[in-house]
Amino acid sequence: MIKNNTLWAALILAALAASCVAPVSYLPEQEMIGEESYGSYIEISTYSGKIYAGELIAVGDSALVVREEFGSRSHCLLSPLTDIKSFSIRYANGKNYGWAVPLYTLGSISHGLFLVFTAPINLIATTVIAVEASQAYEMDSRVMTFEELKLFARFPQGLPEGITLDMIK
Amino acid sequence: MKKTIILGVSLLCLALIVTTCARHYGFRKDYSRANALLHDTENLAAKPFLKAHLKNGDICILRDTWRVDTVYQFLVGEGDRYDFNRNNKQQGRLTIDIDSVAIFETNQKLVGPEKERIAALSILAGLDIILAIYCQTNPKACFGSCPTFYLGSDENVFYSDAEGFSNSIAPSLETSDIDALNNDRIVNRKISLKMKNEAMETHVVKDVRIYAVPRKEGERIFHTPQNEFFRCRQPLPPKSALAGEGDCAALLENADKVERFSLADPKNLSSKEEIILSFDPADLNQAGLVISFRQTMMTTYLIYSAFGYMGDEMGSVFAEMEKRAGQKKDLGGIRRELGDIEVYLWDQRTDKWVKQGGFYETGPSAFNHQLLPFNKSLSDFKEDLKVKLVLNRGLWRIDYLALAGIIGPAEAVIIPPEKIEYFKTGQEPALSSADNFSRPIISMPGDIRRFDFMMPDDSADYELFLYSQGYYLEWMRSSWIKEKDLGKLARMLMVPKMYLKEEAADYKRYETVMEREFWNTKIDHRMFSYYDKK
Repeated sequence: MIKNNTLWAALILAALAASCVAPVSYLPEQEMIGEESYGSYIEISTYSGKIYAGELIAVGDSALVVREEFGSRSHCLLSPLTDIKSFSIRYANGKNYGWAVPLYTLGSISHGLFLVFTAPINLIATTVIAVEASQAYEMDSRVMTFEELKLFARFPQGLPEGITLDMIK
Repeated sequence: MKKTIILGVSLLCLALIVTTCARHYGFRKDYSRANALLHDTENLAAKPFLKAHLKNGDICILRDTWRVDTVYQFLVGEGDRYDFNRNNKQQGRLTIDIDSVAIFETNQKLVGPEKERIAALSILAGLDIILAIYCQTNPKACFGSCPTFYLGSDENVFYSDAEGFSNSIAPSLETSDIDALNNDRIVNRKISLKMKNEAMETHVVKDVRIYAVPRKEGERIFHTPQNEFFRCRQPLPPKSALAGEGDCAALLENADKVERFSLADPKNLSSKEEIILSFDPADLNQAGLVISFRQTMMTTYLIYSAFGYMGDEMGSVFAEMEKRAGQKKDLGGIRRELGDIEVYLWDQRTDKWVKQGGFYETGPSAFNHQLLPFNKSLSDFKEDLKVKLVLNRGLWRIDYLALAGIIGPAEAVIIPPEKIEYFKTGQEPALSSADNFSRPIISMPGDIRRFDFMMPDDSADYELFLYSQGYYLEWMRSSWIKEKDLGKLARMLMVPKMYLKEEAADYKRYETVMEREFWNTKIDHRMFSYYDKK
């Protein structure tokens, strides 16, 4: 009985897009930035076509160390700096405003015939806000160098002496 | 109009993007020497939290009470110490040898990082609420048109008991209308009916009366589309009602405001659908189909669209229409295309559907309760009785369908109002009159009139019907003027079949959320009554 529901599809997609950034357990909430003990979450895209993601452990002169998690297990890997095409980091979990997309858009129902104008405005505006909020605590290789990236590692001083990659959990 | 909306949405989005996408840079600093740290932080009003990254991989996170003992080269403060795997090693007062520190790290506190987003959402919510309140207090400005009548205490516009002369949008289209009030047993000789103008319209009401038909226990009185009254036995619901979506008999067996409706065809607003009803064999000499129905928002949308196409020439168009009142049938093209709820009876002897007539009432608010007598007797029907409805997709909301045995015709007692009281929303009645419409009542937005009628016999029960006569003038909205498109208006009037195909996509955008969610979700309908907010 109900077909061609373009607005509903847009609404669901927008809500999904707005809330698709899952929080990372070791990242602080925005109020706690500066009190965290772990490194930032980093996503790396390499020239060799690989993609790594995990906690940034250290940035050295020729490579950086990332701790990847697989369920309850994790391991560290080295990624040569020369092979890194781009990276992005997240240093805190963004606020989730995904709830606002369906709430505001469906709230337009109370606007009667004006709904044709207010529903798209609410849909677009809340989606923009939710997506922006989910990315608010992110930076990428377009705005920072490897030197600046060091500050967001668990060990900004570099990998401490006597600590090997397989010791890091 | 579309350009304005696109521009408005674009500007709003741009503003939101600008205000909400601020990134934070340079809030984190590192120092390899304690002196540099002291130099940078000595003039700060509040000390930042300090992280000391030790050479062995440990980290000490100190709250804002830390200090550096430059004589003994110690860092002292309250905080936590973690090992290289970030297991907590120590809590409380920490004393750290400065030589063991690889890097000091400070973070400038981010001030109100969510402030802009919360502000943007708050502004948006504020505007939404203002518009919602406006729509709740002026529901018909947002949702519909024509005078509404209320018999009971529920004064929700979407469940009004009757709508008067919905098609009469100009003096030349003035008409009268009879609507069943579907009342419970009468217990009081005095019947009060409220008439409201809840729209941005001027209502010219020339007559309001009650048609009261005495009824006995177990009887119902129904009126036909031709305004004849029939005394009937209690109607029987259908065994099955097969529509495109399956058997919808459960939706139709009670007049409970749980309605069966469909959505419009996305390619053609005038495409039709069928509902096949099946009833137990009935040995009835005379019978008819009883229906409780109203329209979706489709006709409201089309009427408002027509006004929009007229733009700033609406006055001229209406003046021309009044001058050529005899040609008003030109306006009926859309009505003809949309058509009635056509009723067909299956003739068991000839194996053919035989048309019995149709139902049509404009308006999305009040339910219309009507009877269509069948043209032939059912006394020789041995099998299940089959009835077919052919109706426009997405135009009708049907609450109740049943087969009623007709006892015979009935006569109505016509009762004029004894008293008419006038008041505004939230006010006590200010004026009274009972001059029985020597002059028309001019009802402006927000006006309420209470009509008191006296039933002829206080011991009798009556089925009540409302008779209203008049017309209304829709107020032009400034937003409609911008939608002026005389070409589209011409297509709407001259080639309605083509227009209804062209307009389908635009209507679907409106209908998808409006129809399904507004009407069909479990939203508390009382929110739309402006009395309920008090």
